[in-house]
Amino acid sequence: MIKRVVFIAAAFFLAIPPLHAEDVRVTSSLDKRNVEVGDEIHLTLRVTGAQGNIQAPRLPAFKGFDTYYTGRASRITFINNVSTSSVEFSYVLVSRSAGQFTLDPIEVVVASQTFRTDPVTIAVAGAQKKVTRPPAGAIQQPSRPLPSSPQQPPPQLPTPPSSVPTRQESAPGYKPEDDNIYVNAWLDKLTVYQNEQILLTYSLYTRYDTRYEGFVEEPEMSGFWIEEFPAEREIARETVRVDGKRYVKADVRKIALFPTAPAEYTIKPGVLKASIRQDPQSDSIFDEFFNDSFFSGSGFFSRRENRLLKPPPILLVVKPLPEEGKPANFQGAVGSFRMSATMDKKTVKQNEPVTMKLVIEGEGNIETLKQPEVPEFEHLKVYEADTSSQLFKTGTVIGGRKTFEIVFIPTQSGSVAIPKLSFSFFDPRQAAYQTLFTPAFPIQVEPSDQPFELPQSMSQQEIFKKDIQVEKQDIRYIREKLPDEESKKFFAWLYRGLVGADIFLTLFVLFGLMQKRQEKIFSRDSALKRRKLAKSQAESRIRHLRSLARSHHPQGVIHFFEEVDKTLTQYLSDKLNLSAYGVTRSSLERELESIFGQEDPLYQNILELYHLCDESRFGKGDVPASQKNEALKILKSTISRMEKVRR
Amino acid sequence: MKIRNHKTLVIGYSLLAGLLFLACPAWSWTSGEASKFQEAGKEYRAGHFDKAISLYQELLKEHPREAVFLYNLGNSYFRKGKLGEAILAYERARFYEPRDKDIEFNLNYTHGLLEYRVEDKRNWYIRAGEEVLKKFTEEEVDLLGLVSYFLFVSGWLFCLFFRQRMPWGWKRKTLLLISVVFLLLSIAKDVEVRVMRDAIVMTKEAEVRYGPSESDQIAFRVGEGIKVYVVDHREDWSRVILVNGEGGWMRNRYLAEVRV
Repeated sequence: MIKRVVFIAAAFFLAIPPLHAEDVRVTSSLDKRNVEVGDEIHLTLRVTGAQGNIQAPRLPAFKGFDTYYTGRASRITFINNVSTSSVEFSYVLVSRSAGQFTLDPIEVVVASQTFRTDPVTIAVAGAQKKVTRPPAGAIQQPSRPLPSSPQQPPPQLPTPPSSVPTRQESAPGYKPEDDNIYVNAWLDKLTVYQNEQILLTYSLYTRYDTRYEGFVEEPEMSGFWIEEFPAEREIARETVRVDGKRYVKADVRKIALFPTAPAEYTIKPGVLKASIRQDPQSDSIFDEFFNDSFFSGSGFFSRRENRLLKPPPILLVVKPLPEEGKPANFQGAVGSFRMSATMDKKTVKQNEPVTMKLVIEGEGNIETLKQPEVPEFEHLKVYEADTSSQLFKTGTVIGGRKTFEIVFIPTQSGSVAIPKLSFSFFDPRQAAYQTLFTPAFPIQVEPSDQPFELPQSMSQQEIFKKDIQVEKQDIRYIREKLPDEESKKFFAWLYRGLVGADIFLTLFVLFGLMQKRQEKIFSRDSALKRRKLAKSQAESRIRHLRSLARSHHPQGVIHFFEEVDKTLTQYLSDKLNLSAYGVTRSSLERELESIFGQEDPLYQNILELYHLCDESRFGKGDVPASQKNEALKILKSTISRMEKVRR
Repeated sequence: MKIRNHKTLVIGYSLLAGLLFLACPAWSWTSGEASKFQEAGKEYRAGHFDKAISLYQELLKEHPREAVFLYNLGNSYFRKGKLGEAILAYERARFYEPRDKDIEFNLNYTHGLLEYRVEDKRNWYIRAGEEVLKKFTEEEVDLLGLVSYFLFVSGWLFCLFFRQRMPWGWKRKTLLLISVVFLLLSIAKDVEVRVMRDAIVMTKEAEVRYGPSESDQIAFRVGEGIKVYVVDHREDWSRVILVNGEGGWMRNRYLAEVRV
């Protein structure tokens, strides 16, 4: 049974799919499928229905294409009565060679579940064009060679941006396995405020002819909102000297992090893979001469070796936001923002919607920005409509734009002013809170007979329905109807009935059990059975004898005494465990004599009774009727005495 | 037991049901009770809460287990500002109608107006168990037990009558398991009702002492409407426990037990 219950329970739980995973859809689209070598193709990866933050998916290495990440945009829309959130990740693919190529499915992980897009075929014509550079703000995807020839002549040590006060180059005492190639994962700031942006950069230092192959183990960054950072054009590289050695340095990946809570964090940067040509480059003048672009990259005849590069963990301190000066409307935004607002109409009719478009843009975590609170107005109904956001790079920080649409419906004619809306954020550069305001928008509302109703686009959508607000509380009202009699009556009947039935059935079961036990004992001891049942059988016969006693016909009298004889003999033989068929009068008399003795009146009576029976049988029924009663009396007293006898 | 006929058993059970149906109590509201109830409602609506209280109390003398009267009485007390009495009436109403939303709402609302608050520090499983038990009346729990016992005994009778062994399969095991659960539920409810008896503090502020005498030290004070569990009696003192784990002795006159 336990197995069955476990099975049913397991089936029940397994049959309920996770709600968030059920509605998630991942699709990809290309702006064109027939291109020439060197052309750009724009790939859009759309994830709909997902909740929470999704990291920009890393594209697989597409044969024949260079790929670049160009940013993301998100939107909340209302379609078919359902609010749908969607995030779009944009990439640029640059074709490198002619042919027919099939792009492998792209994997996207949403809430621990992996979704895949369909494969797509692209035809690349052979006309050679000048290979275009990737667009600005694009991050080059892995599997690109790092030219070992420096293009930025002045060799210099990696230095942080001048505006950044501190940064972590590498953990103290960290020694790479091979100091000819290593990765330094570093943060632009070591102490930040909650939700302040930090840039995590992976700088690859190499003295080999190296190809960056991507991440084999993604960084562990729980407690952070993560945005993949769109990088400069191609992977930038420079020649630097570290401890007297000359390296080619390339920032292969940048990630913008937003810590969600104050704490001390240890970021595990993950593991990168790079392949090198086996001979390390020396630092001689000849190497500098030969290390030009012609010899770099993957030579046709060179052997390559894979290297796994694991930068050390990074420590980060996240401070809480100061309580001092925190505005009442502060909703957690950290960064530097601007706000603007526009109304689509200045004059509307009563009960007609007017829409405010409110744009917040700047540097910071755009995705988590919340709409400024809109107060309730007496003659103005307010509904929140679409929200969209777009991310882009601003200098060395992630920025973007978030647009909120707010619908106002004036319910009274006249002049209505939509008051200023305020948005507060914490500026970490100034370590102070800032508050921005929209202008107040006066609206002229013309009278109209049209009754209030939600606009068609909003009326069927649950999202626009307002929650019922409890204004005051009180106890609920008294009952004014007497309770139903029938249900009470039925319950009382059922209760009493079941009590009675249970008692009755219990007695019945007990009786049955006793009977069963008795039968079991009787089956083992037949003499006991005869002895125990002798009385009841005799009594049953006596009842029959009473009916016979009413007969005055001579044959009836004979029959009566025959039955008396049989009853007495049967009873005595049962009680004395003698065979009813083989018993003789003399053997019975001996047994009775041994029990009662010759002088016992009952013994005498039994003999007299047998005598009466004989007399009746042989005297053709010539026995007085009074003798019948006497016979019955003797029979009953015999049974009564015999029941008291213990043998 | 020589009856081996399905028909006999069916006839036996039908006769039993018929006899029980005939034993059904013939009961209905009298016209006097109905008019008194209407009159009490009228007094309540008119704001004459004292009159309404006395009428509901009269009705409760005849039907002390009627949740509707108790609920309306609670409302009347509430309107008079007698929160202790109101809570007692609501608690009693809930005792007989444990799943009534209005009673639950008014009880919670009245609790929210009390001066004192007692944090429930009992283990989650005790709280959960009590919540489950409070959803059923004593009769309902007993009825479940009676039904399961009826099925159990009927199964046994079936075996005795037809000389068949019931297979020890999942059906019988489930029946046995259900019977055991109902039995445990019944025992738990009995403990809740008879051992841990709910009572309400009926005075503005009552002293709870370390012992059952005035010479014992005061442990703490509780206010009107607070629910306590009475676990012992000593002359005119009751030993009480609160849901925060504190306990002591209180004068009986400050308390009113929920179960009538």
